[in-house]
Amino acid sequence: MVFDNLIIRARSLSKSYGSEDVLTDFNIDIWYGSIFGILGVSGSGKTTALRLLAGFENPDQGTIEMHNKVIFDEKTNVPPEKRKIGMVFQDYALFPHLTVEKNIAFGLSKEEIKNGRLDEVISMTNLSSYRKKFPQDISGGQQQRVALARALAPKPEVVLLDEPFTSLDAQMARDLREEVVSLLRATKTTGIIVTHDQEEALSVCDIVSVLENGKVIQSATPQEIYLNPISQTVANSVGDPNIIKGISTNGRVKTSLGTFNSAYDGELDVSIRPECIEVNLDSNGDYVVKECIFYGHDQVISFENKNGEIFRARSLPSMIFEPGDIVCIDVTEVTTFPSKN
Amino acid sequence: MPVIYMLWRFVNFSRSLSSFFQSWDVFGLLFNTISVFIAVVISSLIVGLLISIVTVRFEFAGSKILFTLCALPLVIPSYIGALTYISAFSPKGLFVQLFNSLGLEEIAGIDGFLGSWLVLTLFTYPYVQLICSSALRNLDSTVEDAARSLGVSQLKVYTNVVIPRLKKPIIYSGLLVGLYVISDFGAVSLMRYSTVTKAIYAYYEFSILGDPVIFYSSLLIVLALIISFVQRGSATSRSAKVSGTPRVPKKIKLERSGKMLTYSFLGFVIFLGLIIPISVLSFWLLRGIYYGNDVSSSLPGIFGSFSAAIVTSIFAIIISMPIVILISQYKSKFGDILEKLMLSLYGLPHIAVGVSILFISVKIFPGIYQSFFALVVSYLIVFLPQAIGGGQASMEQVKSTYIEASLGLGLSKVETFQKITFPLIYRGLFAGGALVFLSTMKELPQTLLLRPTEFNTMAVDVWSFASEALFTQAAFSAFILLAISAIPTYILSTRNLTV
Repeated sequence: MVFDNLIIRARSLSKSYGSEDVLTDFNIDIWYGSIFGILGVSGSGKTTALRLLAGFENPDQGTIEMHNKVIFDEKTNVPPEKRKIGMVFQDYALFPHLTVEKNIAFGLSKEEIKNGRLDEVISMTNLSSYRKKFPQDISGGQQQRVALARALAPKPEVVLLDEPFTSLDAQMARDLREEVVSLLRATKTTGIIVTHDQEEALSVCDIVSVLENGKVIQSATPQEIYLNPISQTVANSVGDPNIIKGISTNGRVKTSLGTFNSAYDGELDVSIRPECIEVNLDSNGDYVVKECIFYGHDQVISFENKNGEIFRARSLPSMIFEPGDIVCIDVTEVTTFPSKN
Repeated sequence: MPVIYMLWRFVNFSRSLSSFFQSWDVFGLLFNTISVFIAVVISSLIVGLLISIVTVRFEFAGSKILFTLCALPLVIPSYIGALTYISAFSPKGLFVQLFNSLGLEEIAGIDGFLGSWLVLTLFTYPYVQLICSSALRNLDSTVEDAARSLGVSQLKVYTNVVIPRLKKPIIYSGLLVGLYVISDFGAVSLMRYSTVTKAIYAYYEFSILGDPVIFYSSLLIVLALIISFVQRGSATSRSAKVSGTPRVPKKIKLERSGKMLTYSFLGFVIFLGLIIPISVLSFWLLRGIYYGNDVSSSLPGIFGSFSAAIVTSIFAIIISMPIVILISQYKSKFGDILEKLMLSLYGLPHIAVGVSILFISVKIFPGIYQSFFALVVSYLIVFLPQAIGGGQASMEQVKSTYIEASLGLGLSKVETFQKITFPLIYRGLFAGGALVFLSTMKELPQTLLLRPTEFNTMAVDVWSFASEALFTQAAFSAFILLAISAIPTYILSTRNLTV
């Protein structure tokens, strides 16, 4: 997908509560019409970032622009109700005293309702049979739909979604995720999804920003993030790689899983994803299978080298391994980072 | 502020304190107040706890209805209770008249310490019953099962496990009763038992703002503040709840003799707390109707009670709304201080608050002396916490994300208040306002001190008619007061006292 217009540009945002810095020098560029993911562990500042964009809290420093117009800096502060940014809250925050229908109509003017916007949104989100019900009487998945419908109704240009699927069971989350994304795409609404779930971020978003300790450490397409993480933290946050220490000389690094090319010389961390290691039964092999966990669509094999180091590989389910099997390996791809220490 | 002002005045005349102690019988009055405090707290705890354990843990027919009947005396103000007991059990009272044909001519009569103790116990134990039974219901019984499996007998489980685990609700409700007892004016004055509150009124009639009035009011405030301070310390976890769903204990089946004992205990309590007061009141009422007694003298009181209660509750709702929002929505320092201040108002003895308002209206703003305005202000000081409590409970359901969601959808702060905050809290505010209405209608000591001349309430009528042994008139006002307030008081207070 090609995006050519920036809708939100945030520069050097910082926010602290007391002595605790939640965001430091936070920068993002969000393309119009894209679905943007902010990925990070809890406490990394991702929810705070959303709240700053929505205007519920003010940054200590920095600027936020929307369509090249400043909505926050030292002089300007557009209040949340004027920003045209919709939000889907983690706990949905559906108004308990209003019906589904009235919740969705909440941000609409009388005229907009008369022109059929309410009915349009309700049918778009498949909520017609729940119109007169109260939020507490419908299921979690339906509540999520209502929250989204309410946010989309006033046709915001951007919708912020704060951990939108965490309170749903896995199957429901997957189904709704697709539904939400197609709704956002169909209405050409820019979506910003905050999540700690790597699968969610990678499968849904056009661009993913990985957040650590209040800083964006990498912003790129899901493929780029996954295949070329710029640091070990990024690599760890999208996958579960084997990390091996090594020393590189003349662009080659020797490790316990083989010798590889490297971009740097000196002390290195070599990151090898489990799915980039091919395991085969071989009585002359150097490794012994310790454990094999079968997941159905694949399996994870733990194996040990002669020094007792343990590594993980992921392979198709068809091959059968037992603990104690002698195996050989073939590494298809590695990433190297300068060692942290 | 009125309280502080009065305490300051109190410090100012402390020079000749030694002479006060001699001439005012300070120790005698203090002794009386403290002894009735201790006696009532102990007896209320015993009665209230027994009712709780019996109705929550034992299995017998009609336990629910008996529980409600036992809690009902809560709605009877102490001065009405005292009125019924005095008129029935005075030396030549109703009881003697009833058994006159059997040769009964005179009995010793119930008054003084004994009368105050009995009446105050009967109309305060329901606080213990409601608070402790709710805690008992929430108690996870697995600990008791564990005790049983370790070889502790069923009876000992109660003394060694259950009651110690109810320590906090017991202390909390006991001190609530205590606060009620030391502040009580109506019952002790009708029983002619000389406590600090009775002395304040007696000295007030002698000289409106004489040194003794100030001194005893300050003393009472100090006592009340100590008790409510200790009480609040115990309030942190009122129901001894354990994480997870508490396992409901199996109710204990009773033998025949056990059932008889339970029924006679509950029956006796209901007889004393409910049947005697109601039948005595009905008797006076019917007799009044039979003899065609003129009740028109009670009409101004009815009108006065209603107007005072309506005005006070409306102001309470209006004033409490911004306070409730300040306290819970914005967790500001100011809101915090406000909440603490409101909490400390709760439990201030009404008579002492009345004296301090009197003081201000006489010494600082003579314009409001004996005005309706001063009366309403003093009602608001003591009853505002009830309105705030009602609003706060409903404010808890206004999550901050609701406000944010509304703002995020483009509504202004004012519109958000109209469409979200207010619709969610108005019911709680009105429930709080209703509680203020009922409390104001029943209030006695402040009304006595501060009412404008010619202004009367039902409470004042009950008290003054009863003081002059005009029981028919007293019963008429008391009956109307109860008829209006009984059911709503019961509903609102059971909701507030059970967690």
